[in-house]
Amino acid sequence: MRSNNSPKGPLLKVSIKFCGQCNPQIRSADIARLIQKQFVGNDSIHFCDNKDEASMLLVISGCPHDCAKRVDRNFLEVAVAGESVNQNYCHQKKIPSEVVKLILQVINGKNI
Amino acid sequence: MKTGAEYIESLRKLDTIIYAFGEKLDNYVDHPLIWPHISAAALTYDMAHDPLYEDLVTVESHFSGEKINRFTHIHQSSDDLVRKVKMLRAIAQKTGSCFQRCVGFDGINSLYTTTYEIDKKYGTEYHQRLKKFVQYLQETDHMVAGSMTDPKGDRSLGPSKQEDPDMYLNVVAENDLGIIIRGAKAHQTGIVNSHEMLVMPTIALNEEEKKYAVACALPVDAPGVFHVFGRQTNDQRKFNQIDQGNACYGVVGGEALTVLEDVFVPWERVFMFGEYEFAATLVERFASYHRQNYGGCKGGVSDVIVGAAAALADMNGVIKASHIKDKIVEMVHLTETIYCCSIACSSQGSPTASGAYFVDPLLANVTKLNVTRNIYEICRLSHDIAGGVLATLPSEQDFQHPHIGKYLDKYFKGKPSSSVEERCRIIRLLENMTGGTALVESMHGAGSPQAQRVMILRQGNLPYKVSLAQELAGNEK
Repeated sequence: MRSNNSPKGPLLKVSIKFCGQCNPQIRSADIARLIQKQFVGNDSIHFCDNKDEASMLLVISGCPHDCAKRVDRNFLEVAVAGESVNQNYCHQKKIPSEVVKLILQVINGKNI
Repeated sequence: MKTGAEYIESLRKLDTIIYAFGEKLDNYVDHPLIWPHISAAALTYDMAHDPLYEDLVTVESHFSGEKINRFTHIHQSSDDLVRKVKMLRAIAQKTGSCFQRCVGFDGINSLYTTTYEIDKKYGTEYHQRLKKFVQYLQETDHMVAGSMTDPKGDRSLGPSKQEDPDMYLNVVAENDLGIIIRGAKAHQTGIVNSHEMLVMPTIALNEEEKKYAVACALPVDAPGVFHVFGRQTNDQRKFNQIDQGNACYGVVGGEALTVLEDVFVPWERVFMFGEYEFAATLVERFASYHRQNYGGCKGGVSDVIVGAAAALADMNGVIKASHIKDKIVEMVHLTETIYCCSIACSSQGSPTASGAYFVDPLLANVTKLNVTRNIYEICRLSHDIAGGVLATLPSEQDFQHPHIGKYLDKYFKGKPSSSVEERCRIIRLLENMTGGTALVESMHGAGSPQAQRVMILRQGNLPYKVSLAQELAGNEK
């Protein structure tokens, strides 16, 4: 996704956190890949491995139990838990686009 | 934390003595009999470095605050207990087999809680020694085998009454530096590809049996120690590929008889010696922690069996048949039942005096007793779905034969969407996962069904239940 129409603002650093995938109902790794692919070339966002650097946490839990362990810090969070995004039902195929929509809202300065 | 490759290389540095089929194995790490078990254990290391799984397979050490492999952790909460079960299921879904590390994991936790109580009563320093050993395991990420089961000889007699006193491992001498132990430990899962072994008594003991009340840690290649690898159903197939079924990870953990012939253990590695009245506590704690696991690990293995049965039904063109769907439903139901049990005993865990968390023992024993039944039924249903080909499929060499191979390719076709080789691979996977040694392990691992029944009766709180009934019946007693 190109950044041509995105407002210039501070870089959004996103860290992806998985639950331990003990019995996943969704393909978490594929979903993460599809989401990151949507932001290739977008210089408003950076996916970082180091959670200490991140200002947003994208949690991908394989089922509604959403047991991925969060660290004790105030993160802006988007949570995928089975077929749901931020506790709203979302079919697995639509999860990447729904998450991308939410991340773009943050980049554009809107609340999620 | 080690990676899988580092773990495998670390085994090459050991001088572990292993016998199999009448021969001492020169290079056991690469031997086809042992390799699948090493591969399964290696996955417990690699998954700790995978972002997909690290949330379960790693945890913060309560000693150092560092990230460690969960298999070296002392449970600090009921959440830790739940995560242990989830971790086991996640790994088992990848291996389709036992990955061996849980026995030592349960050993260190049961000793952690018990040594604390021994020290409190006797002013000994076992708990400090055990903590140092656990910290060593966390720093080195070494694999430790849990060595509890003695050969037992005549089961109608206790250790001190046996004709041969070594039927139960015992201390034959002690000095300023340590103890000398003699005996054997049976059914040693993963010991041939471990770094350390954690010896524990296997039975409640009395005052006459003090020399049997010993718990200690020693390297698996310590002088005087050797291992005799157990046979497994179809183990000669480990020299094939497809016919083996699960060529990467085997179908069981890989068990051995470990003989300890006058082996020296320094005091700093001794965690119990003579405190016989704590043997029962240690055994029950270990048994409960270990029985907790089975809904996780066998849940994950059963997930693979369900998947294999469904895949085969699809290849055979019968996946839509209502009786097939019903059998698959039943297999899922039985799998989730045992998983429910493991989660329940974990979520109802509580702290011990040591601070470490312990499972609900009644529910842990219920877990394992359900596993001893459900696995057999899950396997039976998979056989029902798979059909007779499970028992009659020709060898992979026949499929590769220049003359007859084409006939086998012709007559073993299922639906065109899958190749004959794919069908054969799934058949072999199912055949090997659901018969023989794998089934027996589910029956007797962590203790035989009667052992669970004894614990359930003991924990069943019958007098209270009688009073409930009496009250509702209007009886005054």
